[in-house]
This record gives sequence, structure tokens and C-alpha cells, in this order.
Amino acid sequence: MLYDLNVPWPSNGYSVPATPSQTIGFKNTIVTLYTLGYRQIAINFQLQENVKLPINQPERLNPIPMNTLRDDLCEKFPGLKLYSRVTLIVNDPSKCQGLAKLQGHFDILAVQPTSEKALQLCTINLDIDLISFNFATKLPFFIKHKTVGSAVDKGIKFEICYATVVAGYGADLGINSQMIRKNFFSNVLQLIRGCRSRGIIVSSGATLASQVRNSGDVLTILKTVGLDNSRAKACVTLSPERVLVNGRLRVRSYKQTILEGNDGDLVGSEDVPSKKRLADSSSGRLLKKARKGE
Amino acid sequence: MNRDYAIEKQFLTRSYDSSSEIELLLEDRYSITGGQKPFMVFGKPEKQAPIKLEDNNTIPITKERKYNTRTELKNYFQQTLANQKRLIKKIQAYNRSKSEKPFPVKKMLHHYKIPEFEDFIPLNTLWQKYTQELLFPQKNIPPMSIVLPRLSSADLNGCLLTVLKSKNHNLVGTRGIVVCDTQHSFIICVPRNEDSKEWNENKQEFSPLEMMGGIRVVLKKGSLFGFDVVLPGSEEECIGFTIIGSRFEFRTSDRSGKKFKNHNVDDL
Repeated sequence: MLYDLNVPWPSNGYSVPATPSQTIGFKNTIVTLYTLGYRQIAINFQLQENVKLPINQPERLNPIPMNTLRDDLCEKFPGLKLYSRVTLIVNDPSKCQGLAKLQGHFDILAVQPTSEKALQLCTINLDIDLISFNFATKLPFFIKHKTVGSAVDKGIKFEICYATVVAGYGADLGINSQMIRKNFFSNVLQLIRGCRSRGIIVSSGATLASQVRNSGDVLTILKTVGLDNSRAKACVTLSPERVLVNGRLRVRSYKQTILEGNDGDLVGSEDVPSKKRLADSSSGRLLKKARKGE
Repeated sequence: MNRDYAIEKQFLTRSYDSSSEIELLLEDRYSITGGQKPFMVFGKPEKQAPIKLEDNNTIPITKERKYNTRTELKNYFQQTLANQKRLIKKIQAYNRSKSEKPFPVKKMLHHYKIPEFEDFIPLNTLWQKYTQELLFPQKNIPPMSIVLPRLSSADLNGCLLTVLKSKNHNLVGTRGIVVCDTQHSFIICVPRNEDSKEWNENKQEFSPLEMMGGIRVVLKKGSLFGFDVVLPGSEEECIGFTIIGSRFEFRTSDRSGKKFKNHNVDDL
């Protein structure tokens, strides 16, 4: 199964909701991903570290209308599963207190550090699933194997978004497409060197449907930067799955020991109804029989 | 004075086995012609051999000293598992002989002293009661953030577990009542024939293992276990839970006060 853990939600911040036209463009991206074989898609909500969180209204913490989106898309496209993800852009490590408050409301917690100190903090202190970088610009610091390796050992993965290199323009419109591509490849090589080809995931980060690529193209990119076949494949299948499992277990389980629902699925897309009938499951029927028979 | 020496007899039964001996002793004690000693000897004076000390002046570890509940339980499980192996071989040999009559499983279970699932059903009923009191003290369902920590430190002896996922594919679907919760494994007592697995409900023929039931040792590592908790007040509704075995590798006593931590999920 193919995973894409980064489809940006059109609005960044709590004040401006997404316009209908933006939402349609966003849905088109998801549908395109679906036709390319991606089944597990995470919707990314990007936050600056200084944005004030609406803590008093917990239902507003997650501005993505997951339920309506699931109703719209999942029925028409069988097998599609949607998750929510938040990416916090961290520059000053002391300011990111908000992450703990976001925990229960998003499936995946990601951080985009913009300084070396922030990266170090993410790997040591924060309870997160994913670290992503802005690959369009030159990274302001050197990626050390020590910090990255400790993060990979903890289970934190590193993300590569290919939309900027496909589109040729990124968050900063000042630089031209050639520079972006040059930066992208040098940054990716640095990351791969830093984490010794382990713990990398690849996602689209596509704001337009035309920026999405199928898995074959993704694998070709990864091979050009020096990953071998199996590792490149793990970047789109195995590693993202682990990110999802990690994130979902944070929401669903108590410290990865016991979780609600016993359908044998660690990820579980929608919130399962807590109550069920005894006669519905086989073990329930056995239990019922045992209780009657005594 | 006519007495039947009720109190004395009661005392003496603890020291002497036969009642005739006691009566003889009492008669001798109180008769005019008897010894009329002002004391009575309780218990047979046994000659105890002095304990032989080992070279380094420590008391040697005898067989009696090694005797405790834990080792006894361990021995019992080992013996039962060995017996189960023997019975399976017997069933296989019987199947090879192509006899018309079905194998007398029930009789053989009794012969080999293999425990049956039905024996443990009362244990499961007790466990359900215990869990209901633990999780829903006010009869309503508290949010899952409160239920799950409680359940993670709960006792699981008597719980009806099902193996949902396992690295060992043969184990998937095995279910039974937990008899013993050890550090690295659950020892469960499994039902027989059509109850043995989820997909066996409509089957007609069963493997020797399924015919036998008995106990199974299921490793916690790399498996997911599911179980249901019946809601109080209703016999029909339940809540399902899943145990992540790889994160549950603690002794029961350690687990009750354990502070759990999130880890790398690469092994799940």
C-alpha cells in the first residue's frame, strides 16, 4: 500500500478558513493521488510557532473538517483513508509549548525545525512522529549524524517533499527553479548522509493536482540520489506506515500498551464506536456461550 | 463421676491417630490404679536427625525447601504440555489406523489430566465482574483516557483473550482463558473443536490440536491480543480492547505500578 503523508490543507492558521475553490483544488489533489495508487493520505495543517492556539475551544484546534471530508471522499473511493497531521515550524525551541496541547486532535505530529538548536530539541525532548525540512532553500545548518541517528533510533522519521522540485517554486518565490532544484538535491543528499539511508519517508506536499507523481517516478528520484531499491521502496511503504502507527497509537492507546477496539488494526482510520454487540464478533459469541453455560 | 473427656479427646486427636489409643491413655490417666501422673504427653516424641551442615556451614537445600507454589505451577504446566504432546501423537496414530469410531477424546483428556476450557469459565465470570468494578465504578462509561491506564495495570488472569495478529501465523485466531500471566507469555486454556478458532465455527473436521484443547503458551512478543469487557447492567453489549504484546512484557506484579513509555514502533 502506498502512503502520502503530506497534502497541505489550503489555509495556514486559525483565522482564515479555506475558501470553496481552494477546497475543490485540494480534493482534486487527493483524487489524483488516489488514482495513482495512494490509499493512506494525511492532510497537513501547517502552523507557525507563534500562532495563538484556540485552547478554550478544543473543537477548533483541528481546523480540518475530517468528518465531512471522509463522508465526501471515502464512499466514492473505496479503500481511501484520510488522516490529519499538523506541522509546527519551530525556530526557537523555548516557544513550542503548543505541541502537547495539539496531541489529541491530530493523528500525526510533525515539526519543521529551522535551526540546529530546534532540530536538537525535536530529537531529544518532543514526542513527535516526523521531522520535515524546507528543502527549497539552503538549509541554514549542517545535519549531524549524531542528532539524526538518535532521532531515527527513537522512531522519528524524516520527510522529503518532492512537490517543490516538481513545481519549481516553493515557499519562497524569490529564488528561481534551478536554484530550488539544486538546493533540493544537495539537501536531500545531506539528509541521506546524515541518517545513513534509514528512516526516510517521501511525501508529495503537493498543493496542485499536477504536482503529484506516481510511485515509479518517486523511486526513480530516490535512486538518483543513491538509495538502493529496497530502501527506496521502504520510503513510500514501510516507513510511512510506522509513522502512522506511532501517531495513531499516541491518540488511541495508553502508552502503546492497551488500545480500544479489537479489530486487529493498529492504525484504524475512523474512531470506532466504543460499544458493540456481543453476538457480532466470534470471541463475543464464545463469551456469551460461556456465560450462559455456567 | 462419669465423664467422656470430650475436651481431652479433642486435644489428643491432634497428636494420636487412633481413638482407641486415646481412650486407653485417658483411662490410664484418670483410673485409681493407673499411673495418675499429673502430666500428659502430647504428640509422639519423634527422633529428629540433626541437620547436617554443609562444608561452608550452610543448611543444605533439600527437596522440601525447594518446594513452593511457583515451581509447582511450572512443573504442572510442563507436565501438562508433555501429556498434550503424547495425546496428540495418540490421536495421529489413531487417525492413521482409519478406524470408523471417533476417537474417545473426552476419556483420554481425563486420563492425561488435561484441563478443559469449561473448567475455567467461572474464573472468566469472576474476571468480568472484577473488570466491571475496576473500569465502571459509577456504572457509566468514563472516557477512554481514564479506562485505558486502569486496564493496563489490571490483572488479566481469567480474561478471554484472542490472538489477533502474530509473527507466528499459526497462532492467529487462538483464543482461551488466561490461566497464568508470566513475563514473556500468556498461558491460556483453549476450547475444543468448533469453538477453538473464529473460522472453525462451521467446520466439521478438526486437527488433533483443535480436538484436544488444553493449555497453550503464547508468547507476548510480536502479538496483538484482543478481549471484550461486558458492560455492567447489559448482557449484550461489550467494549473491545487490544493488548500490544510487545509492550506488555512485564510480570504482573511489576506491571501494576509500572510507568509505561512510548517507544520506537519498528517492532510492532
